[in-house]
Amino acid sequence: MTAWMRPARLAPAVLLVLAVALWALSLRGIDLAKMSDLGLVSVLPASAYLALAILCLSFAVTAGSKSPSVPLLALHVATLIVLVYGVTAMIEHLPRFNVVYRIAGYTEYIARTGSVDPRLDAYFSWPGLFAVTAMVDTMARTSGVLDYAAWAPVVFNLLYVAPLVMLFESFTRDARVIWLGVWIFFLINWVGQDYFSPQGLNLLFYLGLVAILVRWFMRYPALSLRPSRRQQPWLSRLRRVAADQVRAMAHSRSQLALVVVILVTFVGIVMSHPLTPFFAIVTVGALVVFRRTTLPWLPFVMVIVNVVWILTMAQPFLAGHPSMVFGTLFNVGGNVGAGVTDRVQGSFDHRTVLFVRIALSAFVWAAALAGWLVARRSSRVDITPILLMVAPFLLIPLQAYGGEMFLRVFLFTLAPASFLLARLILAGSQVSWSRGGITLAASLLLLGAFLVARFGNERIDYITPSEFAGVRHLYDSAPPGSLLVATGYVPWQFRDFEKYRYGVLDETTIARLDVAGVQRIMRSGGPRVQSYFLYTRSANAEIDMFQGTPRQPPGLVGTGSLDRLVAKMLSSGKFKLQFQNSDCKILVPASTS
Amino acid sequence: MTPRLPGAVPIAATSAVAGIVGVLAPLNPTLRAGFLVAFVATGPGFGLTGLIEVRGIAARWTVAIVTSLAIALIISTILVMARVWWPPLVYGLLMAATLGGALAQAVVIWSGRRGAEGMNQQGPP
Repeated sequence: MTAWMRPARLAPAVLLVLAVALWALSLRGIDLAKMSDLGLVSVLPASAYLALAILCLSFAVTAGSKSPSVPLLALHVATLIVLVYGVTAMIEHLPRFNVVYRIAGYTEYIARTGSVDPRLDAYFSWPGLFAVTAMVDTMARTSGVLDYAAWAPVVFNLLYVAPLVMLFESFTRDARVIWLGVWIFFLINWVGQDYFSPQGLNLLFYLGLVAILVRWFMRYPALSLRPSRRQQPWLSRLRRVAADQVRAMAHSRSQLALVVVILVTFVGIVMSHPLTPFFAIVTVGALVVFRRTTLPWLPFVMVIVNVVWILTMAQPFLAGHPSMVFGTLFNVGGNVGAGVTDRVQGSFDHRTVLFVRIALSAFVWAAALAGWLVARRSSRVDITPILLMVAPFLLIPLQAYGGEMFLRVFLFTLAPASFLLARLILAGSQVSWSRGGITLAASLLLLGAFLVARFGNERIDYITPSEFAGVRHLYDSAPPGSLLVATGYVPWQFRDFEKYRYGVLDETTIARLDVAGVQRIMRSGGPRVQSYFLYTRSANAEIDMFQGTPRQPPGLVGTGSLDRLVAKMLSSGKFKLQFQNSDCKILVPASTS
Repeated sequence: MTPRLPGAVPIAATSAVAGIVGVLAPLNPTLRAGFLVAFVATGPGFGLTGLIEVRGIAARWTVAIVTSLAIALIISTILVMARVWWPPLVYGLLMAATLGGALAQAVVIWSGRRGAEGMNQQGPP
């Protein structure tokens, strides 16, 4: 009997095929228009959940077996990524998330002009991803990023697998823990920064850099000398190396080459994202402080490289937006509020989604800490994973990052947290069925929360062909120099980035249904500038979800506010419809010829 | 330095083929972009890091992928910032890194085998 014909391997393989087939059948006929504020989970059929449950069962059977097959575990992880992270690409016609359209605009600008203009947008100071993509688009003769951006989450997450495995291999030799950790990573990565974005690429760079550092440049301060606990101060105890630590030392010439790889990777990070360099610096700094790396000079070099870039290439942005950069410095309360409490508002369903996100994140961090403590008691894990998990928190006092700092911190703690969670799940379970049972229960719990947390904004994030047709009509009809006004949550700026001016409708104007206020914004471009008001389905959904409550106090934005404002604009006689389809309206001042 | 990455040469070569298909093949543009992305994400990395002593599949792919993407990104960014942006130049440099690196590895492997065969032919002293 060949290895694959054994029941322990055949059963998961059959279950895997069954899950994929059932998933494919489930996605037929999903009506996205019926989606509630709970997001994608509100329109997925029961058979889709059954397919994912079968996948979890199959993984649990594989991971729980006496000698788990690594290729089979890897196949499960790849299947999970394609099914779950690719679901929106499978059921939606266009790339989701309005920011992707703006990123398409950056790339189109570089491909068309061969340059960047940091005065136009902050991201032109960190153009790395857009520059590479512009090359790909030009050489492949695509019509732009939007041709393939829908599949970015699948590609990015598949790319994360190798550094994750490499990192976890540095912590333990137990293949079961390694692959359960990787599996968990993809069950809790709800933040959704893996869309076609610099952050998606930079998480890969960050994971790669940390994995290389931990694998080949680890320092083992107390290998031969391990005095008793009483004799050591707490810091020395923390610095002690675990018994299960994998020790890998590269050849000296290879080490030099790997240092070059680390530096090249960091330069790539610095050129393509404003935030990730800081996460990399604090993480490497923590490894240096706790004497966990043989490269104590590395954080200093990283700081110098980043400062040089900011003071030279990103200087125009820095000069133009000092309050954005320094305004939230050391404002711990404000930064925490911007990232957590200020966000908890909107419709009941949306607040439910937010609660699930907060609960899932808190659970992951708490369980990871428990996992480390449990593993630490048996000296089966080093301090390094907990260092990697704690270090990103150091950035919270420094920046609110537009209220997203907590999300980013969660993202950068995901890898070590997943590993420690896997340690906790497998701690103490020696029997196959027990291991499999706990793995299945944990997988189903995390997957359920993940689906709500990750796709909870889908009603806003998905873009319909009608919406996009409307926005394309806008660019086809509006002459360059025109002022385009909307709420901001619209799929625009994907072409001719520098040729148009943009105005964003503020909350007060929407709340008061202030037609005169809209007129003021649309005249702000000057008397000779043509202006256009853009209304889309996703913009309306955003107002309803983020601001809407059934009993809206007067004067505040509420459910249907944007609809009512547009109706009032039209009935006022001061605006007229220039274009309309099922998901988009374009209004212009009535005086426009 | 003995190459520890025997698979790197065929992977780099396959990646280079993907890069050529991505530019020249009469395919759907999205498919061409897919081939080009595969080339950019792996080719230069496997070309340049093949001689580094790296053990383990995950480690090999990690080093190659981050190197590949970082190099592509750095070259592209420098050309854009310096206002000498020319996509064929970026593509050519990445292809040169891939093929040049693979060729260098092949030479090192070949000369290493020749050396080993010579040692075997000498027999025990």
